[in-house]
Amino acid sequence: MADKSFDVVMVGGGSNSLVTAMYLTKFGGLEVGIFEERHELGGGWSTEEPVGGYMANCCSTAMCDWYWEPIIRDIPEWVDYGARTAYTKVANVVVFSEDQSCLTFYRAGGVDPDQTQTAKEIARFSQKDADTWLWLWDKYKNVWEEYTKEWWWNPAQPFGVQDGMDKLIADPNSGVDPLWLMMSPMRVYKDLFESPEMRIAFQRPNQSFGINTSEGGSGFHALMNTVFSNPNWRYVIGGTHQLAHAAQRVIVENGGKVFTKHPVKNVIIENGKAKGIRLQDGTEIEARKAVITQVNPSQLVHNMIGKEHLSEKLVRRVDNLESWFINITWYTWALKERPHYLAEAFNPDIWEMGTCFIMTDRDSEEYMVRDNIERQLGIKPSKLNLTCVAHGWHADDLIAPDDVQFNILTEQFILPDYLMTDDEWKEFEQTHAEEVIALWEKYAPNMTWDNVIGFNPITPHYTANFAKNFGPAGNWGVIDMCAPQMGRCRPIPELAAHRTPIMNLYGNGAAWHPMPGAHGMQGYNCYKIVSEDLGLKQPWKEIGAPW
Amino acid sequence: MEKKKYDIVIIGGGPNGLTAGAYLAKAGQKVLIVDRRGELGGACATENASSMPNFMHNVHAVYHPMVDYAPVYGDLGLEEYNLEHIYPSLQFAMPFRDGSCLCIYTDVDKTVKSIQKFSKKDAEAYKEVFANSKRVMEEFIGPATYYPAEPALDAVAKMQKSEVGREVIEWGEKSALGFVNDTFENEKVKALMLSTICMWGLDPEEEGLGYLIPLYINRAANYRIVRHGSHSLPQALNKVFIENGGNVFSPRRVTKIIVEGGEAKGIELGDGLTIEAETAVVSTLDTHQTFFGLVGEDKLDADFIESLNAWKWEHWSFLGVHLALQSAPEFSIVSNNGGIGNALIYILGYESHEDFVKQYKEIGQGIVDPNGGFNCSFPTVHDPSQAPPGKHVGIINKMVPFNLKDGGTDPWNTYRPRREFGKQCLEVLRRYAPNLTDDCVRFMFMSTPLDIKNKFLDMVDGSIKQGAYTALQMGYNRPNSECSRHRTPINNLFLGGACTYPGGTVLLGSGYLAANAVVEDKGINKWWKEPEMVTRAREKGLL
Repeated sequence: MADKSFDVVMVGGGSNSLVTAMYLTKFGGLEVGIFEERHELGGGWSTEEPVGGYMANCCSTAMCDWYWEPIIRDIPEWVDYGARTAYTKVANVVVFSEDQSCLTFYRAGGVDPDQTQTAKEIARFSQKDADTWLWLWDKYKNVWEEYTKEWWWNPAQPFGVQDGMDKLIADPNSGVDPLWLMMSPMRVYKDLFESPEMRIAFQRPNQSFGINTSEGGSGFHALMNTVFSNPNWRYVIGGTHQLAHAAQRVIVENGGKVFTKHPVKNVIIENGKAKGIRLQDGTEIEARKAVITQVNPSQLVHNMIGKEHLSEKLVRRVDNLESWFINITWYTWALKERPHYLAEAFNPDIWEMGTCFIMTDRDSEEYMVRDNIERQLGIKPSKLNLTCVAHGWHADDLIAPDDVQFNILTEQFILPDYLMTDDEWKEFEQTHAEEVIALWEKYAPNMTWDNVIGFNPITPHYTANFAKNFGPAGNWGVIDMCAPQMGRCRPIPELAAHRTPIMNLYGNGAAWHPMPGAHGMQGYNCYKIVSEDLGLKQPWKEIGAPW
Repeated sequence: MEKKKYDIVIIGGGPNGLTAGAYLAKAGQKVLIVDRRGELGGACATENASSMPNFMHNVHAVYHPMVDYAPVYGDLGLEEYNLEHIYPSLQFAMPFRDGSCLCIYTDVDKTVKSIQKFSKKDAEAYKEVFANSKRVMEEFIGPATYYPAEPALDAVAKMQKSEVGREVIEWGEKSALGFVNDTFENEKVKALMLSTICMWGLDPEEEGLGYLIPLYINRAANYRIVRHGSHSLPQALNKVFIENGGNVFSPRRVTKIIVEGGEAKGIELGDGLTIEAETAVVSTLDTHQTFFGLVGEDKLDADFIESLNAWKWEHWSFLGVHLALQSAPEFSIVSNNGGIGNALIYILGYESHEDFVKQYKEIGQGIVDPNGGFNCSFPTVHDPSQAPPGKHVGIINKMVPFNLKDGGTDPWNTYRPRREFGKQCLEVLRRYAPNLTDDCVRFMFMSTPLDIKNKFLDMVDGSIKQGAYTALQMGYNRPNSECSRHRTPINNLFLGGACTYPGGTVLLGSGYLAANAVVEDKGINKWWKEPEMVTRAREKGLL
């Protein structure tokens, strides 16, 4: 006899669960219960205050224009309730230490829609690269964008069934060279750009997307992500966690129930069908129609289902998933005043940097490769290669106190959690802070400890302990973004379209098609599948949208 | 300009705003709460900023004083929303350098025994004072907290008619220090009594607020913490609010309360949205933000402006040192005093009441004594869910000045000095719990007076209750005679924050009484009943 009963029971209240739950409650009209182990919903949509009044995003921070697009279309009240974004004039800046010159990408939407201003900045390094950028931008706007949205905002299709990505590649107007599909990101960027500055301006953001710059087979995905994002960054007003609050408001007003601090033990399976869940405290919750988990593939197979219910091949594939790459430090710094960059002499606009700000050298192409190899061998990178993410203080006055508007995040790729002990991480947290400030001061002389109020030292050790699905590595993408773990293969082809071998049980989360991020794609696609199976209302069909 | 329409708009989603919102939404009103912060609940915050996740830091409110009285919990059925309180039987432990320790238990006989070890006379005195405090609390102060304030003359006239009332009037004349000196002989007992009476900022020498003495003496045996952290309270209120049709816009900044013809008509948000309020606007902000910032002086008369300008913020604030710990504290005094390892609150660093008085005076001079005392707590000893398995959290709350003699607020705003303040507190704590070594402390999270102000605009100068508790700012005068009953000189504009009667520290009284005022004035269905304790007090002629 179950203690509680819902139409749909959701294991985990992370970002994608919340998206699915908004649709299930609003359009599906179903009774939904969300069971979350942590004290707050949102998973990677998480914000804390390392210093009172200064918001620090613990996971996702930099957003792209194309995040949540159909969700905002279908659920506009989500925006009223707090899912609001802002942007600044400058989207992406790369500063080179040798001469404090910088390459600047102006924001496309609302600032530099045809990217001519950006092209002028690129031309300061290479006219040819500026022309290539305008060619890529034209391809993106006129060919790639629509196909890609179709690919993102639809569930994974099996091999042999054409999806948006297949259509893009097959379109003779796409300009996509088939060789790019086989190349590594670095090779694609070298194929396209002659200047090291322009190549670095793609390689480092690509790393932030979680793709290893020297790994074959991921080059075109890397190119797409960086072309789409370099001039398109934005961020959530007041901090990323506002997305979770707003989603909870939608879910609860449509009758959904939220249970935080309710860890789930496993899914109850009878005769190959999911019947409900069992909580850690033994309570049983009945699921009348479906169970949807947002745990990682390994937890799904081993903890939630139990491998006795699954084929040996499926279990082996899940066990072989890679998760060593996307492990980062993610320090948000509360500052008294903004950094005054030397590179402002080269381009005064850069202090308006919105999101991505890279402090690097011209030889970083080489050490980005070395850093990947070092990390694969379990060695700490021998040199810092920082990306800063700044909430645009011009556009968001809710991210820091009124009279001071400066908090900036620094990102450095580092080892997975399991390679160091708790004591070693504790020591690293402080030494890394010292290293970051020492490096920062070289680019902005006022960035000394006297300008620091506090910081939020997030490491892979934090991430792995934050929520179990990020473990054991502390990987923000849950699993890596290597070629066999993207799109229809993510996490494995057998699971990529959210259904599992257990009837009425669905998998959801960043480890699913098409790629990790705070964009809610999996949550949206998961509803597409569940609504098909349960015959629920499909708002995109009513307006005839392709996605 | 985009417009939206609601019956009632509430500015501020702290515990009072949420309380008012939940009552009014349940009354069938279409209610909107707007808050500048993304996280609702104001000071009922449970946070995680740390190098290790899932160590829950109750950064502001942690001990809840009126859970057994506030009608809100029962009226709204908050238990159904997983709200649960923990009520440890050992409420306070105050260890001294000589290895002795004074304790306050929920069981008064045990407290009396603890005091007997120091002074038999004081133990008897406490027994009598506590019995009086309990009676005064039950019959008058408790119900009065959830009943509209009355003008002092009316209130006194009513109180003089009964024994309890006369007792309260008598208390009123005393200062905390005077009371402690007159009642107790032992300096350690005096230290415990004075620090429990003044731990929320009552000036030891302030006269005229003596009725707070029995309140705090009584509450010192009645503190509760919330399971999973203080933030569970706003989470539960928020669910009641939204399930009853309430909407929340946050984080959004309110820039204006629209007043036309002496009547509040709605609000404007900084991003160009106008929200019409058909029935009422309820502000839970401090009076300065509400009237100067949002209404505008041109809509107010000169006397009213003058009364607002006379408002005093607190001259002290809290320094919070929040510890993520590898293990629970082991107090060395435990060996001498069996069973005090699980006190809810420890008061450390005071050997006599003089130490407390000295510290309070130094705050006025902008001085922080590195050896100064504080209260601290380890909630995970009572609720393991607030840290990862086997780990613990600790909270130190030290009264400090907002403006420092050396450097103003800059030391509160600079990484290294902030850490130094934290380490000083940790050193004091280690004298009592030596196992809390650097190895044991996984992370130290700081919350300074400036942080409080930066986080909450209504906590001006780190003032944790939207303004000081002084004789002129309490009761019918909180915040002034025109607004203490939650109405204002502007029609349809109500106040419901801690600057209004009965005041701060998560009493939930201001929000509750504001909701009562709105339904009474607007003829809205009042679905809740008057609390029985209030009816009794009224029938006795006390209210």
